[in-house]
Amino acid sequence: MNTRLLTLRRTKQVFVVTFFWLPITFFSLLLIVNTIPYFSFSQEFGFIQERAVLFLRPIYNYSFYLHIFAGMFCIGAALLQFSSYILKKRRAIHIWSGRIYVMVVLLIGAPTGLYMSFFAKGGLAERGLFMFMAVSWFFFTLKGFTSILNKQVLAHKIWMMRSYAMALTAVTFRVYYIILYLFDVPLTLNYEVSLWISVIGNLMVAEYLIYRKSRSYLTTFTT
Amino acid sequence: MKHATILYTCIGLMGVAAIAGFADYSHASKAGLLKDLYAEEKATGITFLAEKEIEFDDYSRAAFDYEQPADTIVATEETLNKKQKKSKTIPPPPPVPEAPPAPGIVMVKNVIQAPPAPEVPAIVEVPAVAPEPAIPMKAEMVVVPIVVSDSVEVVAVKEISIKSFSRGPLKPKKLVSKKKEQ
Repeated sequence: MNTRLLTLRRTKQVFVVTFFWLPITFFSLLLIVNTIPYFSFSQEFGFIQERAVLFLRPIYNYSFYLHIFAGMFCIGAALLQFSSYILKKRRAIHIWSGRIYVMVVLLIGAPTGLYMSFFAKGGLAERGLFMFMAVSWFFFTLKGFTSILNKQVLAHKIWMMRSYAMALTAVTFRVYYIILYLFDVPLTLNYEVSLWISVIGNLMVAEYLIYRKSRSYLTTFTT
Repeated sequence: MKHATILYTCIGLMGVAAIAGFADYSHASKAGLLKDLYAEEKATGITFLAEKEIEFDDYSRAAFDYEQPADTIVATEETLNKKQKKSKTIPPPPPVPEAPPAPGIVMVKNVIQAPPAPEVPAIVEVPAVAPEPAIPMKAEMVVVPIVVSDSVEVVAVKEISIKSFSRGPLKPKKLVSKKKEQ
């Protein structure tokens, strides 16, 4: 391979890291840091005060704390999953963080999310969207888990990308929400629009990346 | 076997969550609780300032005699004292040498300048008139509890001091803000 192509490839890597993984890592860590204070179990947080009626129900209360606890581990563990360096050189880290991610999502994150989705903020459409998120998150993670158990690596990659796209809605939602807030969009509308953009946008990005990754594989069907 | 157990467990958990969620949701909807699940959203930041300014307008036209929570008064007074201290500690800016005035400013000065006052006799007899009763302004109410930021607080205090004191007597009418009335 000539040096020009090598330079191009390296530039592309730097571009991807700078504009894709760095923001994702930063906002993911920010989300984790912002979640930690909730474990003081104080009722002073705006999020809890807004849902004060819901938090009177013990099942909702437990679901919430379990969900954010799971979310922290899920977001943190997922950051390690897509590093090719870790995958090649430190495979044990990939395996163990993957196990944590899968267990946390399947046993805690998705079930508690599904329960809370019935009382989500917004209209029926938003509640339906939250339910879709919980169920699809569960389903994608389950498929990714079973596919790697069956040694189907390509399928595992694809399903896990979809699963991570669903997990990242927690991060992207907040980013869109802040951006729209800066544009003075009314709060309720902002909430709904951010939610839809984050879910649909993440899924579309994931599908695009899957298509790009498996393009060479997909072309084998036509020839 | 081990993996199958995990799969069945997590699928079971999802089922339980779905059933519990649906049951609670249907119960809440029957009881009519779904509308009151979320508290009213409060705007924060600079929009909060705008809301408060409208309320001040209301108060300046209507009732003033409401009881302010003591701690907020103390807080605002403390912040004001701090500002005063700060302003004391900051040395006054050095006198700026007067620049040659622009032609426009000279004209304005000329317009504003009052004509020389006529000579007033040394002793003037004034008929005895009873002094008008002072309108209770309740200046302490002017210090309004906005604790958004330092700059905002200053703006609010200044505005009140101008508007409320320029509109004459204040009649106790109603305390409801425009928003609530709507």
